[in-house]
Parts: sequence; structure tokens; C-alpha cells
Amino acid sequence: MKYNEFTAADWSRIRQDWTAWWDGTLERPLVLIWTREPGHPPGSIHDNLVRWPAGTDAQSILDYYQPHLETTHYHGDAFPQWWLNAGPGIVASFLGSAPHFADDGGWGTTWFERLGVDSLNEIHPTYDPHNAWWLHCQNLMKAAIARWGDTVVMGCTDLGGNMDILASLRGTMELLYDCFDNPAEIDRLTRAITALWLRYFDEMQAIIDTGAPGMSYWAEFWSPGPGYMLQSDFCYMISPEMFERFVLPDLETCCAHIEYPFYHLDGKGQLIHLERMLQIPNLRGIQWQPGDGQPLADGWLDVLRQIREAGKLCQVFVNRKGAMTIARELGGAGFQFQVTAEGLTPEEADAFVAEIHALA
Amino acid sequence: MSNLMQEIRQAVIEGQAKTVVPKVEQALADGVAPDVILNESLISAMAEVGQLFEDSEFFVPEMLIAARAMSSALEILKPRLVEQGVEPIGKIAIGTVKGDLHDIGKSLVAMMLEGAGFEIVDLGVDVPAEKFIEAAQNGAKVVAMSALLTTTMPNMKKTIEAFREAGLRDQTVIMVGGAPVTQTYADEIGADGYSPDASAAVRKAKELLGV
Repeated sequence: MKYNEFTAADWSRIRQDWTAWWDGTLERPLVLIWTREPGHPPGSIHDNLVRWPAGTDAQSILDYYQPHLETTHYHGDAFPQWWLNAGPGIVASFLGSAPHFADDGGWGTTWFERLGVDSLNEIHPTYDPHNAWWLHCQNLMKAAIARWGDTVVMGCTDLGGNMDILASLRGTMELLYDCFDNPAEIDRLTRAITALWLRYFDEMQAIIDTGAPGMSYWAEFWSPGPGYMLQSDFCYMISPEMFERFVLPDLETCCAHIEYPFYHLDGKGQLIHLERMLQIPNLRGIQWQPGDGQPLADGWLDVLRQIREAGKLCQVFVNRKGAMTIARELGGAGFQFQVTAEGLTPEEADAFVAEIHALA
Repeated sequence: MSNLMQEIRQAVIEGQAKTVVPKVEQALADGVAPDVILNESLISAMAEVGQLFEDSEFFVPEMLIAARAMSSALEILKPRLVEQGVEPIGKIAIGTVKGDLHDIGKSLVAMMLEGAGFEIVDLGVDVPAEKFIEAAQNGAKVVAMSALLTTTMPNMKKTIEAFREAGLRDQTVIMVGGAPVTQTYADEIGADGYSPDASAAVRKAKELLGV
């Protein structure tokens, strides 16, 4: 089904099934597959938009994404969605760091220029309503809603994790030293960044909530209210004690504030923090990404079991075989499978959705 | 090992750069040979740090401050070691491959190798094949390449091919590492060695050079 073929009944189905999944009452997994029509343009609807400078005409940017939307078929629990991909941690740019686009062979990514300070003491994050990238993101979201508002769900931009944002402003290596040299300043700055982060989040959600059929964020989540994929790439490198001090308070604050929070658990180096994360009462679930060079998600059944046994939802990116393995071994309920299309035709994708639903 | 040597060693492990420097100066003033301080305190300490990292008792910040303390001591010792005629156990050029701007993993490996007694030529990030070749032409026996992205890993293979084309492959030991890199990939592209982390990189470099 294409984006402009979604009827009121389809949106009602999306709302009903996703809401049941969030509530833990859906007895099957959510299964999302996308297929593309032959001859679709190169790139993706998720391509990073920092390739265009701040202030670039919003319509010309949205024109880039339009044909991607028009050539995509949505299968299973997938739905038309566009999220404002300015790279991970764009709040760093809202706070003064210059973003640079980098072609990584995929969607593209963003590198943030550090502020060039000699010490954390020199960093004083403040909300700047005239910041060019903040204005640009707001304008783009408003333009996207005006263009697609009642046919496409809008996704919040990837604002970033508090330590990741601070690492962008300070420099990652410098911040790693600061963990020992200046921890009190990290405490001050993480609190300040979290407070600002929540303001950017609320203001972006207020824009998103003006017309879209539900709310979303990157990784194609649908939620009836504000949600977000929390993250802390920085915590890959630090001890549980430092995680407890520098990262956990931010996660707990955000989870208390956001109705549908998930956590982006990226790489085996973060697994040492998983048990502690699972104790955050308001955290709804974990997205497990094993990382490049590692077995795919279905090769980590113990991790997935740990997540589910803690009562959390779980999202994984898998192929068809992987989705079936997880569904058979652990039961599908509570899982969200984003299934790689592997050259499937729309009919084959629909057949696979039916096959895995039949397991439930 | 004397108490002072043990104190220097412990201060390096704990990353106490400000403590290490006066203690090294004291040891030199007491007549302890620079190579004894290097081997018994600094290299021994960094080996312990590597082990603690492998045992998940140390993490990246702990390793960094230990390496910083070691470097502070090494700055004092280097001219004395030269006077004494002590040579590094090998020269290694290290860098993150072209297209990849990740720095931390590569820098950690460089610090641990330096802490093991190697001379390090840090080529930085986004390093093209020509720079690695130039480093080998300037005496590096080992070239160590890092990549953090699957999209930049192929530049490891291209660099190895460039070494072949330059006629330098047989005389250069090539090591690879980085989060997405595996032993299988290292074998596929014809690297001589792979290590999953900074500590293992030290063991692998020593093994490959027979030191």
C-alpha cells in the first residue's frame, strides 16, 4: 500500500494495533516492511538533510523526499512516515556547534564542530531562539506538515543524548579526560543540557502535534502521544559507576517527561548498562542494535530475553529468517520487527507478514 | 622492584600524572637507570592497565588517564633513554583510514603501543593510502589501520593493495582493527594481524615482530 492509499480505516488499524502493542495487549509482534518500486530514485526518504545549508528553501528540500515517499510500499504495521533527519544530536548545533555533512555510504551523517574551549567551565549552554539550525528545523517540520500533514506521520528529529551533545561541544577525547579531571562540571552541564533538551523536545512536539495522524520518531515508531528514542553513545566507553553518575539521571528525567520513550542500545559495549536501564520504570522498551561486524539481532537471544523478561518492549532490525527465529524462540508479542526487504515484491512482503502473524 | 618503582607503577595505573613526574625525577636523581624505570614501572603498569581493560575493570577514561600519566613520565625519560642508547622495540605508523574521522579507538591503540615500548607515528584520521606508504618508507615496520564504519573498511583493502603496487607489502607488517572489523575480514583482505581491542593490539604487534 502506498502513502496516499491509506484510508481512515488503515489509520484506525495503525492506531489500534500500535496502541495495543504499547499497552502490552497485542498478542503478536509488530512487523514492518517497506518495498520500493522499480526505478525509484537513489537514496532514501531518511537521507540526512544537513547536506543542505540552514536556510535552504524548505519546499526544495521536501521536493527531494517526495519521490521517495511516492515509490514506497508499506507492509504489515508500517505506515507513511517522515522524520527530520539532521543527524544524531542536532541539539549541539542549536547550542552553537557548526554541523558538517559527511557521506557515509548510507543516509549520511553529521559531524559537529567542537566549540574549541580549553575547559568545560567555559561552556554555558543557552537557548537561542534565533539559532539558524533550530529555526531551520522548525521551518522544515512546519512545511512538511503543511505538505503531508494528514497523510504522513511526522517524526521528531534525533536531538541526541546529553553526554553525546556535550561530547560534540567539547570534543569526545577531551570529555573522556574530563570524566576524571572535571566531573563536577560534567554534572552541571548534563543537567543544563537535559533542561534545554526537554525544551527543544516540547517545542518540536508542539509543532508535530498540529495535524499529523499520530506521532513518531526515527526508527519508524508510531505512538499516540509524544515519544522519543533516547540514546547515549558515550556510555559505550564508560564504567557502570560513571554511567550512574553522568548518564542515568538524564535518562530518568527524560523518561519521566516523555510518554513513549525507548532506548537505542547500540553495540555490545553498552550491554554492561542494560540491567540498570531496565530498572528505569518509565522506559517503555529497548531497541537492540548489535553493531557492525557482530551477529544480527537474532544471534542475541539472551539479550532479547533479558529485555522482555524485564517487562520492556523490544525493537530489532532483522531479516525474515531472524524475525521467525525470534518469534519461535521467544514468542513474538512485545517485539517490533523491522524486516529488511531483501528484494521482496510487495506480494511477497505481505505473504511474509501473514506467515509471521500466523505464529501468534 | 623497589618501593619507588612500585609507586611509579601504581601512579601510572591510577592515572596520577602529577604524582608520576616527581617520582620519576626522584628515581633518576637516585641513580636508577632510565630503562629500568621504563621497563619495571611504565611498561609494566600499562600492561596491567591493558589487562584491567580486558577484564572490564577499566574503561576508556581509565585507560586514557593512565596513558597520559605514562606519557608524562616518558617525556622526562626519552632524552635519557637516547643518551643511554635504548632503542624502541619497533616503529609503528597508525591511522584511521580514508573517509573515517573516528579518533578514539585509534588513539587508544597508539597509547597502549607506546606504553609497551614502541615508537609511534600517529597519522591521525582520514588517512589516505599514500600516507601509510610514506610512513613505511620512513622506517615504520608495522602499519596499523583503524576503521569504525563498514563503509570505510574497504579502504583497508585498498591500502593493502596500494602497498603491493608500491612493492612494499612484503616488508611491512599490516594490522587492522576497529569495531566492525573481524579476524575473518582481516584474512579476506590479506592483513597480517587483527586485534579486537587496544590491549590485544600490543600482544599482536609483539607477536608479529617477534619482540
